[in-house]
Amino acid sequence: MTEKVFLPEDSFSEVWESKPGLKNRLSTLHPYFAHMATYGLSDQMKSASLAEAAVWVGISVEAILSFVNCGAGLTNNRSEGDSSAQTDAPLWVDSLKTPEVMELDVRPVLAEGQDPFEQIMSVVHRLRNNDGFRLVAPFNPVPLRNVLAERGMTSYAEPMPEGGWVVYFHNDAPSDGSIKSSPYPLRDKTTDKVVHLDVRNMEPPQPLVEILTLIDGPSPIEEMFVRIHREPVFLFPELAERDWTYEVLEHRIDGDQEEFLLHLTTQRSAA
Amino acid sequence: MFPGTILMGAQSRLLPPSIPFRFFFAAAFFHIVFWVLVLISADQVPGFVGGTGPVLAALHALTLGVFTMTAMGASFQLLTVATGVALRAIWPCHLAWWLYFPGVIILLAGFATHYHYAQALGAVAAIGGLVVYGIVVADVLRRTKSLKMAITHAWLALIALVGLMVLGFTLIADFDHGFLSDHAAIGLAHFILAVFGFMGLLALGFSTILVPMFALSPAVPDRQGWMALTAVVPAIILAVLGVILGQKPLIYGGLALGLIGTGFHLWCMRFALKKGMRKRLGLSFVMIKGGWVMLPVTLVLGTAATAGWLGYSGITLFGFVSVAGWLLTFLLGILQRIIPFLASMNMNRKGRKPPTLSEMADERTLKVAAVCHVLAVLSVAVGIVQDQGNFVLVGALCGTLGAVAFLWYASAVGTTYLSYHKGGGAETLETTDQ
Repeated sequence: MTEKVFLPEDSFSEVWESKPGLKNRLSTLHPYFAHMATYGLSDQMKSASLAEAAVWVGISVEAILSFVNCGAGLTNNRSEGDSSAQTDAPLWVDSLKTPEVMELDVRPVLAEGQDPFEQIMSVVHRLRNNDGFRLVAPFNPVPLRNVLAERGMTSYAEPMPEGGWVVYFHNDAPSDGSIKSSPYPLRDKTTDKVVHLDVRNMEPPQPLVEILTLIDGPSPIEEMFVRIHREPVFLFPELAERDWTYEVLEHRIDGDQEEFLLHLTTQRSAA
Repeated sequence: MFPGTILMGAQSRLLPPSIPFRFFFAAAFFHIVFWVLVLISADQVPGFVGGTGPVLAALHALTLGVFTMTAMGASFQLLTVATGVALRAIWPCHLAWWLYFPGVIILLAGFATHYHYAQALGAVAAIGGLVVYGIVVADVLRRTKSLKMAITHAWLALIALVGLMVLGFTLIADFDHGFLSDHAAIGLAHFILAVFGFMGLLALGFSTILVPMFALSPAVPDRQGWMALTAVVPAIILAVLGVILGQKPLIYGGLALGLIGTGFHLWCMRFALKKGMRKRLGLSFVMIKGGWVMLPVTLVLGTAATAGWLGYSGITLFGFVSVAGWLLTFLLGILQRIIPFLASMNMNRKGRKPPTLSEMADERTLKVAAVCHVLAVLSVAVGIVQDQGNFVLVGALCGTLGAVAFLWYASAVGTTYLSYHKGGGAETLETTDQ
């Protein structure tokens, strides 16, 4: 009997429940899956497609498909626990590595204590649909990437061997000129230790539980970016207990609605 | 970017710490007052069924001084944080405090000394504070779109608060004018509305948020949570009606429904603890679990007292175990968890590493407080059953010692908090007030 081949639009929860052993295998792919294997599916994942689930945890759609379709006899070039599956660059990244593509190195500007934001935005404004550019920075500019994601820019960051980061930005905004948020989260080459988590619209204490489960989990997470829709004051003592610190990267208020982007980091490795 | 900074001010859900802490410290203070009043009226405690005097003052030191004070501090701070709905202004919290705190002191003095005008004045001030509190909380509840279960509990608790305030003031007026045909029945109805209606519903509702949060577990299951509330609300109504109308079947019905509701609630709490990531919950949860055990015990005692199986002391024992065995044990567990937790929430300033919860204060004082509390409750309960004032006296001594130890712990947390801010030059207890 031929096993069903799952497609990106298939329900993640159905796949999760239908394939024996899949939970354990996916747990090796990303700590968030390991968390759900222990504590059950999160509300978001219950209604997510496979593609959305991949996007949610910051891995490529191809990676998750190769995992779930592995038993269906499809080619899977990687071993199941191969963490390189997490680091797959999106296909468009290769096209942005050519010399013809604009490269903006903001390291000198930052070294002079200047803000390169205007310079970056002038490049962004000139981009057409499916265009892209490279940004070279001394650090992974997550706040900027989030800002540009809101304008339809997908990004992929890679650390450079000599230090610093190169970030590839790809314009996914519609060609009609309208602005639409990128449907994809930020992707980093080092996603095995960096987690992007969106806990907006979860009721307390679920956001707290989701965040701390990942921090307390077996995977060595060192950094986390969390989108949350309320000030997580209950979280702060828990972070202190675990030797983690946080910073608020963004705080938006729209009437009664709020949204925060938090950057959480462990102090253990620093120590 | 705000490294290690939390928001303060009108947009923040975290109030100036002086607001919740003044209520919590007042609760710790009235905890001592309660046991001291029991101590000086030890002979009168067994067989107490009502009437002004130090025993009534002791009872209200506990219900108004400890329970309601804790509820006010927790509602102002934790409700806003949990719901994400900010208070429109902070001055009503100050107003509630300045009406309620002196009002309770005057009322207790009036009860203890049988001085009617003090009772009336204290009651008016305390009720004024409670009305302000009720309006502030109702405004938050009205604007909240999430946490439906906890919010429904809080709405119902506010309704019970209105009922108990009306009955309470009526009872005080009756002490002077004697117009009630059955003062004792109205007194008991007032007690049920206060302990099981207002405080009980708040305790149940807050538990659905706080217990999963402390245990780091998923939210409690909706179905069982709602079933608990569906049983508890008619239970309270039946019990109050049964007491006022003198209909024992209604009281039994209320107690039976109360036991069913308690069963569902405890199932939810067990679920949270079982699913929680944090398994070692510490002494606070020993107390909280002790309170949970005492809740059904209270209802069983209520049934026995209604049936007359416990003799003359039945109703006194039921009342004492309700307030000291169940609610006080539970609240002491919650308070010893949230006092350092709230302090820690307010210590994430200026990028300085805050102390961990265990570094806030010496937890050995909490062990002393817990042991003394258990001994006190047992000893006073035995004293009531045996009609022996000496047991009550010993229990009250233990209780006083435990209450002092608890206040000592709370003060140590406060000292740690102040020293942290002294070094960093950040906002202190008062400077962030609006």
